[in-house]
Amino acid sequence: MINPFAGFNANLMEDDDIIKYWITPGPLSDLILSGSELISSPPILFMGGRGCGKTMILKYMSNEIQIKKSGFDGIKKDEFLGNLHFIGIYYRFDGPSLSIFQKRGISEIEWETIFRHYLEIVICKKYIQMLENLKLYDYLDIDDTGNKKLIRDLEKYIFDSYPLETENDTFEYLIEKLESLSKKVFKFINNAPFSKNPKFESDFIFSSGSLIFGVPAIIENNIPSFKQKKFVILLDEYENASKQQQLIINTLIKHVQPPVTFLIGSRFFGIKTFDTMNKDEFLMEDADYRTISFEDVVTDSDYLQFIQDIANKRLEKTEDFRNHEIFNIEKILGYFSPEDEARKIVYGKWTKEIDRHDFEKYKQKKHVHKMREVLLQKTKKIKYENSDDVIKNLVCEDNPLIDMLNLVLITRGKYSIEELQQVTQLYLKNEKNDPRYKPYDQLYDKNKLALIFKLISYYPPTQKEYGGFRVFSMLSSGLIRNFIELCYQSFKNDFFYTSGSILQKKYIDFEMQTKSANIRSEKFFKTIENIPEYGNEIKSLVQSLGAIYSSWYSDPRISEPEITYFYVDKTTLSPKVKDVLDKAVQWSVLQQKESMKGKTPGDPLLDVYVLNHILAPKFSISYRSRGRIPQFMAEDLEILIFGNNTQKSQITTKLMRISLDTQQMHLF
Amino acid sequence: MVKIYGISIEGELINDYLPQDIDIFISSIGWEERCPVGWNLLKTNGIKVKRKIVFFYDEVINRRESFDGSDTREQNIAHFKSIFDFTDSDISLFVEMLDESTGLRSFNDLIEKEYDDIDQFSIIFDFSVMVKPYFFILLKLMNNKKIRKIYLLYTEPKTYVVKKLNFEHLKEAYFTRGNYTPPRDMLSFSGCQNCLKEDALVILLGFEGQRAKEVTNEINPEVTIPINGFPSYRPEFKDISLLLNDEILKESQIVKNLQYAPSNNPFETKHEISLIYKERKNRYNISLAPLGPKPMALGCCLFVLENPECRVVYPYPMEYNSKSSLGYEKTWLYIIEFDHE
Amino acid sequence: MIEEEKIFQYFSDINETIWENSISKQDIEDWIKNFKPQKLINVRKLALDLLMGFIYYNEDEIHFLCKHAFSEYKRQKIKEEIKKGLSIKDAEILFHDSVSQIKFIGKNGDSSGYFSYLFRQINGLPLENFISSIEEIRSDTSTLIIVDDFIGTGDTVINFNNSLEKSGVFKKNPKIQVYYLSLIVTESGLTKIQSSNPKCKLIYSELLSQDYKAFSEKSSVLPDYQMEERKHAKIVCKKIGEFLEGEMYSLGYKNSELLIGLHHNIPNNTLPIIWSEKKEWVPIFRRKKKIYYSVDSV
Repeated sequence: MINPFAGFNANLMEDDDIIKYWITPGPLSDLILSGSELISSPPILFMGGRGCGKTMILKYMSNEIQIKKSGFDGIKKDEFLGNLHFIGIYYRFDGPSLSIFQKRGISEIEWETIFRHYLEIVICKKYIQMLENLKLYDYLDIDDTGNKKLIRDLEKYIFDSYPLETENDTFEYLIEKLESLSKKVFKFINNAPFSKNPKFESDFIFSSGSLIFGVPAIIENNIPSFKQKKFVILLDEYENASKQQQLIINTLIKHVQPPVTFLIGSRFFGIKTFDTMNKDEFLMEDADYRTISFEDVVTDSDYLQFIQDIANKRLEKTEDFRNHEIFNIEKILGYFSPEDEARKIVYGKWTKEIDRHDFEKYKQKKHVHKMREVLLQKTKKIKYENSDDVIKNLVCEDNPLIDMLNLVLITRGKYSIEELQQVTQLYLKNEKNDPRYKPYDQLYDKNKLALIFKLISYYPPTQKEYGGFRVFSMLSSGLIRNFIELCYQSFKNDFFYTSGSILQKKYIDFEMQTKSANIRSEKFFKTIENIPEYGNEIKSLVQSLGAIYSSWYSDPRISEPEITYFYVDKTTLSPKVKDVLDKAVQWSVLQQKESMKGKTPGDPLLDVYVLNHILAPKFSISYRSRGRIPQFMAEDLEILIFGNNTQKSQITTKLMRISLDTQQMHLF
Repeated sequence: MVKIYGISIEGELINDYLPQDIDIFISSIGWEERCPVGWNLLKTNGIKVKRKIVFFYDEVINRRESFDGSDTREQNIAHFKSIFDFTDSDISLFVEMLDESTGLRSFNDLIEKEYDDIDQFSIIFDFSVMVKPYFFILLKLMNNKKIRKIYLLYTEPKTYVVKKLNFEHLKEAYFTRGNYTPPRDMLSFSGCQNCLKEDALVILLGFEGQRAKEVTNEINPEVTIPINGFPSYRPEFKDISLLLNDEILKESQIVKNLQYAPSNNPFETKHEISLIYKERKNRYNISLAPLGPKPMALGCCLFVLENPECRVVYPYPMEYNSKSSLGYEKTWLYIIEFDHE
Repeated sequence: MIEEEKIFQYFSDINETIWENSISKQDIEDWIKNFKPQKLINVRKLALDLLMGFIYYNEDEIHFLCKHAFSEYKRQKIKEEIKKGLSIKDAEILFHDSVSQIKFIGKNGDSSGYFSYLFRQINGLPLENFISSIEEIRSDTSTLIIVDDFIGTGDTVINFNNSLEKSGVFKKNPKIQVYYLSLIVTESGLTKIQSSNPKCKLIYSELLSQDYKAFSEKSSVLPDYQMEERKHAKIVCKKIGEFLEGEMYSLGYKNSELLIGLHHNIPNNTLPIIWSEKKEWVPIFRRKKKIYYSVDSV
């Protein structure tokens, strides 16, 4: 059986697969894919975490895929040109390829010249290839004469010569000529280590923008239907470019000339500089470029629909699932409520209802024992002999979370037991008109998930369940790849552990899903150390954060219910600590959220870092973010990242032990 | 243009295939037990060597390998000179292991000064403990100098893993410590990338799946073809390497592209790569990542010397690991003939 | 994750990558249920450890071994030529010219018959090069290669060699060179063949040393087991094996003690606890019925 979610790295997909699996992510289509945003605005900086789907979008926008797709869909020339607002020229900054433009005994200035020259050749080749693609699909809106004139004009402009033979009036010929210039660059780079004084020589050396801006102008002049169309240079993985290389490209962005614009894809903190080659200028946001963040554009509800569509499409494309008509990932993964999980913990099985209520049996349950213990400690009025009568009014056999809420409230000791019994009963009887109902209901609703963690602590070795479509979507932290990986692992587990029962049952057991979540979480954690430069430090930080956060879950008062983030004043951090945090964000280990206000007005905004929720199973914590723990101080973070084991342990313990005198949960 | 031919010969038969007098013996140093095995084999077989040129890596001689850490750089140098039976005519080149350009410069200077017509000399080259970027660049230099024949020695490690195939040890990387720099092109092996072609990546699988993943993430190839070392030094290694690379194999279903080449045979590896190349060259830029055993990497090197438009990508380690293997087994002699057209 | 969970996760991975998705967790549990509890050893742990030591050669790997075995033969021939002073390039040309003179034979009636067909297909060898009986060997045949997938004890090779002697092939054709080409060979088989007939040229792709005997001192299958524990493990497996398949096969044919499987079959040198289907034993990997192919039919 083929796993419909194998092949979860979109970056490694062939063009046909990108077209095959493409789902438009809602509002993003209006913003970018239609081109309206691109035509009217300055160049765009498109930021997103690793695995969010940036590359797939940029590739999809490329002329290669758009032309191919239109060809597959049987779209004719007029319709194609009519709908075309922009022509995407995709180029990915390959890390290893970029790294060759340095050292080898050659000066930085010379490398700048060579890199600029090379970039011009690359983009120019792509322009001409685009024309060739259009011609192949009969989308080129010029006759033979116009075609020849276009080629001659291009050759004159690029090489300052006219072709001697009429056979050379082809796009391939121009591409070959450019290719031979490109080969000279590589020949020079490969031979440089063997020369004592390597010197780059070429018949032509192109200056910055000469072809990138010049060639589209010629194309526009020769092809009427190209007037009003933008040439969008889609530069992907900008973070791979060195600072020097980014200076060169920033200069192009700063001085962009119509009909060209840029759409730069980068990870967070991938921009090494906003300066240009001119020391007196730099890129100014809004004036020179606009930033669009992938995570901002795709809202929570869009994201849910988006991943559902992606997953369902994969199921449809897989024969076994198509034949069995299994197309709905939400149904396959299902959903269980916190109440369902609570019952599973207490009764040892998934059940919607209790067959038979038996208080005598129920009072033997571990969490009820605990409740009795706390009750007897907290109030002298209640004796062991008459504690049953009290407990009976504080528990609900159908919903142990009610018991847990009451246990927490008893622990806090702010409310009388009589009051608590009354409120519990009116809540269970659904007496909504009673003014005490709503506050209790809100309290319960907000803290359900946190109460699950508390309940689990009384039933070792029970582990938190991490299954269901919504939970998987939250674990994926807005990164599509994480979601696909979770699905992949779940299907794989089903194939092996239940001999592929999914085809009959049409769902995957929650146990399998939780197992998958644990596996993916562990794998994600293990790969952190491989992050270049600061892998070990980030892993160490994550380990400490995991310990700190999970300690808050064992707080009997649940003062801060679902801690999965920290906040800090970034301006107080040392440059190295900042670098580590930026790297962690770049690699989606931490995710930066909207800044938080300081305690008092006038205090600087505090930077919020959420732990990627995919790590939740690893540390048995929530996949949401609620509550507020004390601000991390710069010195704490310094030690957590760079300290020795003893120091780290001390700080971790200190942060674990802090208890917060925050507002109590008020009932009345 | 060059065409390269080669044959693997079992170490115990070297007397039948090597000349009795060799002009130059090239090697490098390392703390692995197999470091001097090639040299000892020549000695015991009565092969006379006129001169030894040994690369003394700074990272190796600066390392404290003795129990109490009292060994000094000078003592280490003396130790390695002794195991190679250094005489006055022999040359030690002090270079940086993690920067092959230093090795290339030193070696090239020496060759230009003393071996003007190096293609006339008989050369034997033990690359058992030489890091890959080094023997790649040295072989390229030899090729540039139009050498027609070269002998290479390689001693297999006894093992990379101490215990059997089981889940505990699968996840341990016995011969890496520390991080890697992001993968980059091997010096002078950048090939010639055509931006209008997609990328195809051939990975010679090693035991470090994460390195393969890093390379794939950097190159983002449309097609990835993994080559597993099989038959391997030990039968279970074929499974270990697949399991340690399971992430990358599953990621884009590249397991369906899986090919094989023997771990100890560079020429069959070269042949397998050339089949892949012939099939894909028109549509793809071919990149190669030699993450597997050194003989396979040698095969990759020989292939790229014949097809220089292909590039070699490699995640260079950030620090040296003194014990990347344990013990030693067979020694192989690889005879390589260059047919310069 | 607890210990056994990790083991099953490992099986899940290896099943997908190497075992061709042929085994599920239930299959493993059903197999383990075969083993009755023992006082001196934890049979569940033993079963899982043995399964972890099982080496399986899937279809692609078998195909590649076919290719590699022939390459090994080619290497031997080229070595002979360059020893005489030929260049490698010329030796390769000479080899290619000589292939048409080689005759291949499998041993019909067992996996070798199917196997010689596979071998021919994979290496692109002409049908004319394949013969189906010793009688077809002509006096001008320069090279005879007997192809086989697996050589365990070496008995089959020795017997075949004796048949060749008896048939008078060497008298009819004194210059004939005979090679035995196998994908996988055990060290004990290799030693036995070479000592029985030093002229016997054996070419193989994969050699299984004594380390691959499940209960040997240096067993790479159970390296964590101390001597006593290994002894008990062997006793248990032998007892079950004898019950299932008789004494000769109790630890695999003539005590081979192997744990290997091939895509097209499980050799009977492998412990019968892996493959036996007798006496209601549920195997984990099945031996397949012999595939008979006559060379002419392809």
